[in-house]
Amino acid sequence: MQINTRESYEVLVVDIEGRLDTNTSGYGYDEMVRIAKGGNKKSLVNLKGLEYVSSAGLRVLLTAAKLVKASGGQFKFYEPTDLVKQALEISGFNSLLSVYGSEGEAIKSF
Amino acid sequence: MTPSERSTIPTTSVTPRRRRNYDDPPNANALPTLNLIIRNDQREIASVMERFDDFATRNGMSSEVRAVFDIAFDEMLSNIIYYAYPDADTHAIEIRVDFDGQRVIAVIDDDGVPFNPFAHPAQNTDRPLAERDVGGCGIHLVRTMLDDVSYQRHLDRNIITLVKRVHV
Repeated sequence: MQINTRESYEVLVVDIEGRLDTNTSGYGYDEMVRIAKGGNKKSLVNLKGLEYVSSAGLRVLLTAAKLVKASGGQFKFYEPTDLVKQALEISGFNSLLSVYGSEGEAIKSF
Repeated sequence: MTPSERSTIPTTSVTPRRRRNYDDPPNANALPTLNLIIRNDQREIASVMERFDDFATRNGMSSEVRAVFDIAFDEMLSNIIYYAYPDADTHAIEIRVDFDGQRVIAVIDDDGVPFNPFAHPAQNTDRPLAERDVGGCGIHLVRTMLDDVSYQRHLDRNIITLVKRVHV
């Protein structure tokens, strides 16, 4: 899996690609925590390339979202694939994270 | 059975049971099967997924079915590896996957402490996270994403069966 960041106007876009599971959650956790602590107030997390997420991966997303919130910032997640959307709904994490259908919707919500 | 009765059993009819190996030459009559044995080591999970992905691709399964089983293996195997063994020994976990064209059936067999992961009540996702059993989240995912899940304790083994119907 890969996590990359890019600046887009005044927001930071985080592209997560691949699979976020037990095997990759260590790397995912380190990267997401680093980004959460980076001081960006507005971050968009692009889930388009995230193939699937297991409970270990869901915890990474939630921990990062909580961390950034604690420092006055916000993570907005957008465009989850069907399986990721399903996992977010089943786990109830969709009510704990801000998830949007598209990048545009996510940006507008800031 | 008396010793004399026992001696009348023709030993020649007893063929040793042999599991079909992943690397065996393909048999046109046999349904596709994948057999794996791993150690109780977290790092083994990635190799299970890799072998399963290959099996799924060769048998024309959709990427959704592949991903659902990868999630299920991740959840169930990490659960076993973390919680099933109070000792520090190496244990073997056996995995068998069968595909009959309509259903994918995965059986995970371990010699850990008796534990029925599906005995937990279904997680109430309406409750705030702080009140929730975070460890139960993965099992809840598996229970919901698969068509059928079951647990059996057989002698000293835990046997988990996961079934998903495929649409071809």
